[in-house]
Amino acid sequence: MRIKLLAVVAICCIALTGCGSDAPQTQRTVFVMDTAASVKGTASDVDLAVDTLTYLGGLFDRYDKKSDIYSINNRLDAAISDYTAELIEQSVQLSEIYGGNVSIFAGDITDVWNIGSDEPAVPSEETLLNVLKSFRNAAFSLDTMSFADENGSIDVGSVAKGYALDKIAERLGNECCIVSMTSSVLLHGKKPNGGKFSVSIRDPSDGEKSLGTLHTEECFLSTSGGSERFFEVGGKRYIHIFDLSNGMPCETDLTSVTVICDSGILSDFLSTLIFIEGTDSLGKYMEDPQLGIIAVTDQNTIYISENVDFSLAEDCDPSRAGDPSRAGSYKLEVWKNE
Amino acid sequence: MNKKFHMIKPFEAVIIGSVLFGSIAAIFIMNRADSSSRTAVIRCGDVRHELALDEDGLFRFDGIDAEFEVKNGKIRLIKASCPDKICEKTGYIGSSGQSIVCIPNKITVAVAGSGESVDVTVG
Repeated sequence: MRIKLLAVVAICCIALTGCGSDAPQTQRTVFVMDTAASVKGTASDVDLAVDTLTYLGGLFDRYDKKSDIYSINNRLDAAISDYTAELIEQSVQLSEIYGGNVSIFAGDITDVWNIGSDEPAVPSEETLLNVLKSFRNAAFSLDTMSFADENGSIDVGSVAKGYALDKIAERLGNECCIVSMTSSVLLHGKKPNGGKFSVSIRDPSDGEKSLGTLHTEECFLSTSGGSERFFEVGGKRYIHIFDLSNGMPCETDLTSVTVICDSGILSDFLSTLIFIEGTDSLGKYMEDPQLGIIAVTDQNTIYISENVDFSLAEDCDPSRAGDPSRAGSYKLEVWKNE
Repeated sequence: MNKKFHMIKPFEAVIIGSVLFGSIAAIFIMNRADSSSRTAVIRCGDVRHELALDEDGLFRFDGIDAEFEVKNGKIRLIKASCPDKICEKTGYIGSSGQSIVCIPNKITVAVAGSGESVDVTVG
């Protein structure tokens, strides 16, 4: 009797130690959609995410002759994947809701600012006028998935990563999974040991440093401004985000915008849009309860919306006597609309 | 007299107590958040990756010709393709300021500065 009691107690105790064990996690990194994408999760989730990214990357790469975007831009009569059609439709909808400062039909403009080339240069005024004309006259039919004439070209750089993350999230199960595409991230599920995810926001003026840490439940996030491609000519920096009214790299008083929400494509689209529009337009996005915003100004103020749990990095806060040599110590402010 | 309760003998109490204590302690040890774990930054040319050092494992990255092992909050480079293997001989690093370099393959591994380890960096 005594032995049975002891045995029962012992077995119960040993069973308790099984709690808290996690499914084995792996991490893989692939180069896709022009960025290093990193996936962390269970082996099957990681494979699923990598396969989805690779497949969609193949559809959306405008410079890949086998891609759907290449076919559309070169007026080839090829069948378009449902995913490509969905991406285009969603992007058109977003431009209609939020205004035309971001458009996937500005491919000609991004093309002439060929920042990836060996000798980037400012395009001539004539070139810019031509691409602006092409952009303004572009007529795309969602029924035929084609342009009416030679005007216009598609570049999905502002929405593709967010869309890809949406597709991955739709396929994932209940296990925790983190997919990072550098400027767009999916946080899925719950961390094995509970607690919120912690996300470092890169300092736009120094890629090695962090502005601070965001704590959040599962969500999508995208950042514009920090790691954008740019080139410098004559002491001036030309960033790879464009003002569609004049075809030039945009001039804005924001250096970095992070959007947190429950849609990948929306976070991607809005991070670019809010960046272009600057602090003058921040109010309406800060007030939207569906969005979390972290916006950094060129005066080194970090504005966050009320629903964002963000704390400054230790060496960022001047009042905490951080590194005095650090250029641009930042000030954190919760946005209040007057 | 029939005893309604079986009085636990001291010896049995010790066994039950230590099994209970050991298993509860095991739960805490396995689930504790490791607040002192760091992040390693691995670079090779334009390629840059961050790797949290809080989970043991073997890792490879596209575009980097080496394997990395994370163990107990430290990282080392294994299976490098260079002839002299100086990078491998460096062994484990785990404190900020330490680094491993593989010159022929242009790989550098550095441990990022102090601060809580994060799940991911965006920007």
